[in-house]
Amino acid sequence: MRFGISLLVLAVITIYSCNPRLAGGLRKHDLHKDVEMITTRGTIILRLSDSTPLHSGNFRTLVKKGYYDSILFHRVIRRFMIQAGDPNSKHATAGASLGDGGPAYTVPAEFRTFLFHKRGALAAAREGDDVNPQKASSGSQFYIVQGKVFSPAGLDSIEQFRLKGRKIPEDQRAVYQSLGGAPHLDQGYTVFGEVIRGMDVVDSIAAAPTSGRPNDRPLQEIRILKMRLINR
Amino acid sequence: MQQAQDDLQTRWWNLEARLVERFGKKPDMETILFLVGIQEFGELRNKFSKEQKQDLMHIAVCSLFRQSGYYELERVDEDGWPHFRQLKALPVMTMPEQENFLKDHILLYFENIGF
Repeated sequence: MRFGISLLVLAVITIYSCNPRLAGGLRKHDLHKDVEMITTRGTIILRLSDSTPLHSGNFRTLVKKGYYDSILFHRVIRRFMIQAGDPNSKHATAGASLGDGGPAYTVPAEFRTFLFHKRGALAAAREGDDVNPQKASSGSQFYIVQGKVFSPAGLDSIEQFRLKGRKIPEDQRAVYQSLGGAPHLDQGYTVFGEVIRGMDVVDSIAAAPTSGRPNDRPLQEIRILKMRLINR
Repeated sequence: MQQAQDDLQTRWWNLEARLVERFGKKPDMETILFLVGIQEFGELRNKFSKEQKQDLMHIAVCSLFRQSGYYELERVDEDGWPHFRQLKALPVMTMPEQENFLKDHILLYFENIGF
């Protein structure tokens, strides 16, 4: 009997030493998991980037805590992006202005030249440059790019007027001309993942009628019912 | 607000707001081009004929794209009307891109004249 218990203890120790606890309530295995987002419009699967550990870790931590469950997509602009992550949206009244809620911390920017705002990119919202020159990300608010397709001249114009002369790499130009995206946000907002399944859901959310500017809030509530970490 | 900004749209709304402040009414694109045309023509008349209004819009477009080297000022005629020469073809773009292209040039123009 004693031998049996020892084996059990050994097995438990082995399992947990292979999957140690990390900061934020995560375990090592969680770092290799995708995120399943179940919304009132369908399910979206997100893959987080290993190159942006601060953002990906923070997002996984919040997902595991259930932070995003019941949150609204509170800002939707067709052919641009859909945004969520404001905890105040859980119990918001119809038409209320949203977008200021979140944890009391920000996440330092993690710009990577190879992570760009193609259609399906997952990125962090943030306060404007005037109050946030370091371009630090919101602790919880995020958006998914729907974007639009660009012509070569359209991209030239983006480079000239909106990227202050920064050149978009050729491979990324090709993606913006075929798949589409929002290139003017590149290197200004941290991209930390992408949609690997469920872009039809993103398109459906983006097509929702909204209040229009300045809040762009969907007239009918579109809610994240549940988010969870799932095996790849 | 924690938002990914469509910076062009935001800057455009800011320009519209400043024009409303100045003129008491939200101008459409045609009116903005008319304003640029008058600014470039340099003379505010009580009345412009329909043809002159079209000329003013043409002056506006040429002046705006002159900023990016698509046109240059060729001469000013005896009546004070500027004439432009096209230096290169305008880029081939989709309709929404054309609108943004024009907006970008208008924003640059107003920035350069210190409005």
